[in-house]
Formats: sequence, structure tokens, C-alpha cells
Amino acid sequence: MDHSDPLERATKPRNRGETWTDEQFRAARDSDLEERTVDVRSSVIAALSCLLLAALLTSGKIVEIAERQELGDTRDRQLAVAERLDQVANFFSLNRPYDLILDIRGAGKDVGERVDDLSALAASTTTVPPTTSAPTTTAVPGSTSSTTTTTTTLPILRTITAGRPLTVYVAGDSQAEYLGQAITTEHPDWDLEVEIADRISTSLARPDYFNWPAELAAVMDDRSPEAVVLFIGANDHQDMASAAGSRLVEGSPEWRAEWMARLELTLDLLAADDRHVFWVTQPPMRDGDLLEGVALINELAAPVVAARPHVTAVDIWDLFGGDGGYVDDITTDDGNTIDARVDDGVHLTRSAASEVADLVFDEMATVWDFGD
Amino acid sequence: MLFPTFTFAAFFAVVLPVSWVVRQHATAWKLFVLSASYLFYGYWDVRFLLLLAGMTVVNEIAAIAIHRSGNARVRKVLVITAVIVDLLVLGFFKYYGFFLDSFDSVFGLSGPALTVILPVGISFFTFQAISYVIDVRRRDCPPAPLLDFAVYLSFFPQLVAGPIVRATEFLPELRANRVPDSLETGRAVVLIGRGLFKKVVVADFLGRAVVDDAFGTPGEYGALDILTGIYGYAIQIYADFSGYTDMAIGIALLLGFRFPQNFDRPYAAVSVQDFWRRWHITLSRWLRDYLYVPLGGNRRGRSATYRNLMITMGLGGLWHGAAWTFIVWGLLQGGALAIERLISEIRGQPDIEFDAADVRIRELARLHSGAEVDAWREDPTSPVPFSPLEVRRLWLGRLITFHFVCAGWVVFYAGTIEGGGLSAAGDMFTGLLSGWTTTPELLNPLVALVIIGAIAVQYVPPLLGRQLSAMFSTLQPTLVSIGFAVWIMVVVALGPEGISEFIYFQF
Repeated sequence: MDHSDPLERATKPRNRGETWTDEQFRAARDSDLEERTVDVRSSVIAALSCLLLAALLTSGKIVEIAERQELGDTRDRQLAVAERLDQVANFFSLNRPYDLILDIRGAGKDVGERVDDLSALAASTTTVPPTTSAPTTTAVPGSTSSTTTTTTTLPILRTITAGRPLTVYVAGDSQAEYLGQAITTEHPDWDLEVEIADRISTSLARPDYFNWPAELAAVMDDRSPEAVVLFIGANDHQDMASAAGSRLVEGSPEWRAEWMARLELTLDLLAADDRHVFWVTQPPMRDGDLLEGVALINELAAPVVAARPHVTAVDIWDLFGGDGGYVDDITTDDGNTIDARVDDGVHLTRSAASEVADLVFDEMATVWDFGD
Repeated sequence: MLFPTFTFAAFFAVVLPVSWVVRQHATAWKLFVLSASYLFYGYWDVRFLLLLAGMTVVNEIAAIAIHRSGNARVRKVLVITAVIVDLLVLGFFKYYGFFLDSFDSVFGLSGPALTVILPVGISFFTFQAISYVIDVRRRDCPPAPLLDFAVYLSFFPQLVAGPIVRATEFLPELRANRVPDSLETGRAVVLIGRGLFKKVVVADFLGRAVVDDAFGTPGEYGALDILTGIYGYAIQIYADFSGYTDMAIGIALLLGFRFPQNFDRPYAAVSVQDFWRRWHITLSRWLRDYLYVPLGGNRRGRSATYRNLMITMGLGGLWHGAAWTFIVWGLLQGGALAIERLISEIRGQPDIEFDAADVRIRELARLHSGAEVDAWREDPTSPVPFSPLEVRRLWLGRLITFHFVCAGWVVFYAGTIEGGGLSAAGDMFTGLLSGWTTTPELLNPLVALVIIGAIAVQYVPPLLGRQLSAMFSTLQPTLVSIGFAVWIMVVVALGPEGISEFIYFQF
């Protein structure tokens, strides 16, 4: 009997108990499943054609990725190629299906993703009058030195109750995720309603990628949270584009002035009678360049925050090593040593985020009455 | 660079045609592929290249020395030395902090605090290097020329997250200098397309929509959401890892190499033993051949068998990460395997290779007429004529196994959380005890559809998948090219913003 012939298998009678061996069965089954192969030349041409066609179909995404690169010659080159590709795709309408799928999905619904420009926002935002304030001191867990936080002594805004919990909006880059989760869970006896808005790779430096001022303005308008916790700055160590389109080199006087202006705009549009903002400083970073970058951000942010009575700085620099440099572990208030940073030497661990959350809670307690 | 990125597409668009242009010239091709692989790996961190090159040279020297030695004792010493060196390298880069913390906790001994960066893929290529020197010692393969071995160890499709390809599978193809004149392009496209969808759409979606929140703040959610998170993670880790493997196998096919299968519908497993024959198959067989069998396997009595299972799976858990939770997870798997074995022995069931289709055919033939069996073979996608009792036992086994595996994943996930530990897993389990009437926030129709769909796909008969693949391969290359480009567009459009790193990269 030819076991590879289906007709023969079907028609030949079998005795009860007679079985095929595994090999016979597999041979019969696999003979129906031979895959057609393609010659190498045709395969390679097909693969390259496929990649080219896919690039044209997704040219919008490629342009977006190129735009996100740090300002510089590499970005300019990538953007030039991407835009040329997009022009070709546009000519043949090859990029329409991709845009259609995005529209159906409702992607890019955040205001911050859709608005590139800061100028309209700057024109409509009222500058908060600067104020000088007496610094108060907050003890930093596990640190031998005290960390200074600057706040104007304000009357308690209100008493928080279960019927009227405190609405908290935690915003920032990827660091904001764990901090937001810690704020959500670490004080179960407080009545908090927390919304976490972490947007990976975002910064104030690149509103073309994600426009935080526009996003915050929209959120304040829509939901008006009473507490806003901002944890952003680690991605700001890059060149910026000015309103006029010129490139501002990181660290230059023009760059510093522009970044401070953006922070001022961001904090001013958050000002409201019943709202308080908590600006979390950056911790030291393991990478030398990044360490310099965040130190600069902290230096520029300090006077901007200090000049605004509705903003409190939560300084975590010393908690994570301070001027002594980056540390992997920290000692908590109760004497435990915890891993402070994940493997990338940037992000805080959940435990470390809990420590930061505790500092935020300490500041919140000076603004609202939680009935403790 | 990650597979599902435009950067890799640009890289591969150059490597693929150049590779085939120079393929006729064996040495030139090997040098080109080696350079491309080093470029691929160096994209993460140039310093990693020193490690890879160093491992290549050390293991090659060891293999040559082992092969040349005629003295069995010397060969044994050499292979043990090579394995120890490999494990020390792995131990330093991956487990230094873990061992330091553990010794400090247990013995109060502290050591120098170092910041050790974990090289991507070190667990995978270290295991490949170990299998190479052991196979040389066992005379399963002769030592390869340095260039060949360097290509094997660094070959970019499988370098950073497997599958763990044996030297005996890869090196003969290099040695033969065989130049294929045709490729299984259809199968490659199906694999890459499927892998892309699983990773970019399914895994990343579930991670962001459900898993991160459920595991991050379990106290904020009711039991239904916790359960959704657990199921979601089971699907996420499967889609993430098997998606990567599918792409790796498909890319290797386009370069003319056939990699072993690494996943075989693991959530259709009827027992834990069956699960480990379907999940990360290349790791399972590595552990079996290089750890379990050398320890004695099941040849030295019941107690020794259970001990060997626990050691093998415990170390298998440790391989995944430097945390006690991974060891606990591994020991749970080992314990389950031991219990299943004990039950089988009590019932008097033989220890047979569990291949569902073929074993059942043998059993069926004793119960049904030849015509019924043949009719089933004519159409293997039709329901198998099992007895109702057999069907019930089959599905009960699947239900129990799936939920045991999911419970294990909760412990596993806890190990991936910095400072998480078993308490993080405990939070998830206690979250299941209450809040069943709480309105779910994470569970919605789309999430349910993705989870149920992903599980349902596990039950599609493999034969049907192969029939579809065979049918797909008959299409004209032009049609395949256009269809696949459209598929890539759909995946990119449906994927979330940004691509998260593969879960298994951290191992």
C-alpha cells in the first residue's frame, strides 16, 4: 500500500487494531503539505520591494520618527529622506490608508500630540506675578542634610473628605508612571483621585513631539485637577528650536532663556485659585552627559519655581546621591537599603518612587487638610 | 536594534541582498555576516562586542584543546573549566548584585558595590557556547574553524533572544558551504508577519492597556481586573517572546538557515510536562540535555528523579533573572513536574513522549474501526472521536495546566519588578479574593476579545496552520510582497506609540 496516496488510504480496508507507525502517518500527512520554495533572486527582490512599498505606505510614521530625533545633522538627513519618501507616497496616495486607520482608531487624541506651536498659548496665558518667599525646610529621609523646599506659607485650601476627594494629576515623562502609581497607592487613608499622564520621551524642549503646555491647558480646562505633580526634565537635555525656527544649542544662553520661558509658561497656565503644583526635581543620573543635563534643568527650574506661590519644588537631588553623584541604593527613613534605580541608571524603582511620593505627600499636607 | 523597527528594516534591506551576492564565496560571506551581526549587537552598546568576541575566542580555544586531547580525564577537566569560565562570566554580569545582596542578607557579608551593566542576550549566547564545548567533548561535533564558530555565536537573528540553536544544527550548514538556490519565502513571510502582529499589536497592547496597571497598582482594582491582568500577562509574555522567535526564524529562513521551532501552542498543554515541551522548546531541551540528563535524569530512582527535576527547573528559573522570585517560579515548575510524575507512576502509566496526534491514533485504533481512524486522518481538522470521558479529562487537564501556568507567571512578573519580590505576587493573589462585584476598569470588550482570541488560536490544529502556510507559498512572489507590505502598514497603524523592548531581552 502506498501510504502517501490519499485515495489508496481511503479505499483500502483496514483490519481492526491495525495501526500505522508514526513514521507512516507523518509521511502521509506531510506529503500534502509541501511548501513551494522560491528562487533566491526572486525572494530577495520580493523582500526588498516589500520593504520599499511598506516604507511608502507608512511614510507618515517614518517622518514622525525622524522628527522626533534630537536636533542636529543626523536628524536633518533622516528628515530629508523621510520627507522625500512622504512626497512620493503622497503623490500616489499610498499613505492615505495608514492615515485612515489612525483616524478610525482615534490615535493622536491627546492635544499635546496635535499642537506643535507654543506661541498661541503664550499669548493667551497670564503671567503669574513673581513673589519672594521664605524657604522652609523638609527633612529628606535617609539623608544627613536637609533639602530645602521653597514655598510661600499659604492658608489651607480646603479639607479633603471622602465625599470630595482631592483630584491629583501626575504628569511627565516615563518617570511619572511609577511616581503616579506610588501616589495612588501609598496613602490609602487619604481620599485621592489620581490620574496619571506619563508620556514616554517627552520634554519641554520638544513641543513638536509632545506639547506639554498645550496638553496641560486642555486638561485644566476639561477636568481642573486641584493638585498637579510634574515630573519632567530628563529628556530636555537636547537642542531646541526657537519660535523663529532657529536651532538653540543646549546650554547656550539663548537655550537657557527659552527653556525657562517654556517652564514659566507651563507653570503659569496651571495657576488657579484652588490649585497647587508640585515640581519634582530631577535626581542624579548615572550617565555623565545626562547628569550634567539634569543638573542644568534643576538649576534653571529653581528660580522659576521659587517665584511662583502656587508651585512647590520637591527636591529629590540629595535623596539620590546629591552632589556626591549617582547612587544605586538609598537608605530609607526606617533604615532599610533599597534599590533606587533600574538597570538603565535613569528610572527610579518602584520603591524609590514611593520615597519620592512620601515627599510629595509631606508637601500636600501643608496645602490641604486631610483630617489626619 | 529591535526587530519591529524601521532601523532594523533599513539594516536588513542592506544585509539581505549583499548576503546573497557574496554567498557564493564562503569566506567573504562569513566575514560579511559576522560584521553585520557585530554591527547589530554593537548598536546596543559597543562595549558588548568585547564580551562577545572574548567568549568566542575562549570557547573556541577550549573546544580545540578538548578535541585534540586523547586523554578522557584531561578532556573532562577542560570542558569543566570552559563551562565554569562561561558561567562565571554570566554570573558576574547577570548575578553579581544578586549574589552580593543574598550573601549580605544571609551571612552579613558585603562586597564591593559595582555597577554592572547587563549585556543584552548574554544568557542566550552563553548557553550556546556551553552547548558547543560539551558537544565537542561528547564527539557530537568537531570543533569548527574560528570564523564559523564566531558566525554561529553571533548570528544576529538569534543572538539576543534565541532560539537557542545547537552547534550541531548550525555548523554543518556552514561547513558544507551549501548555497541554497531557493528559499521558503512563503513560510518566512508568514512567520515574520505573525511575529510582528503578536509583538507590536497583541503584546504591547495588553501591556499598556491592562498588565502594567493591574500589576503596578493591584490594590486599585477589583478581582475581575486582577484576573484580566493575570490572563493578559500570560498572553503578553507568550505573544512577546513567540513573536520575537517567529521573526527570528523567518529572518533566518530568508538568509537560508532553518532554526528549530521554539513554541508549539503552549496554552493548549494538557499537563505541565506537556507545557514544557511546547514553551521555549530550545531552552527546555538545553536544560534536559545539558543539566537534567547529566545529573542522572530519571535513571537513578524516584527520589533522584524528583531532585533532578527540582534542580533543573530551579536553575532554569534562575537563568531568567537575578531574583529569588525566578528561583521560586522555577521550583514551582519542578514541583509540578515531580507531582505529575508521581501521579503517573501511581496510575501505572508509561512515560511516553506526548505527541497528541500520534499517541491518540494508537489508542484510537484499539477502540474504533480502521475506517473511522482513516476517515479522521483524511481530514485531521475534524473532531477526533474521543470518548466523552477522554474529552472531559483532556479539557480538565488543559484548564488546570493553564491556570497553574498563569499563577506561575504572577510570581515570574514579580521578579521583573525592581524591589517587587514575592509580596508583589502576593498582592495580586490577594486581589483575587475580593472585589468580584467591583465594576471592572481594565476589562473591556477589546481586551476580552484579544485575550480570548489569543487563547482560541492555540487550539487551531497545527495541521491547519501548515495547510494555510503551504497554500500561501503557492502565491506569486509579487502578490506576497504587496500583501506583506500592506500587513506591515496595518500592524504599524494598530500598534501603540513607540515599541517596548522584548520581555525576554532582560534575561
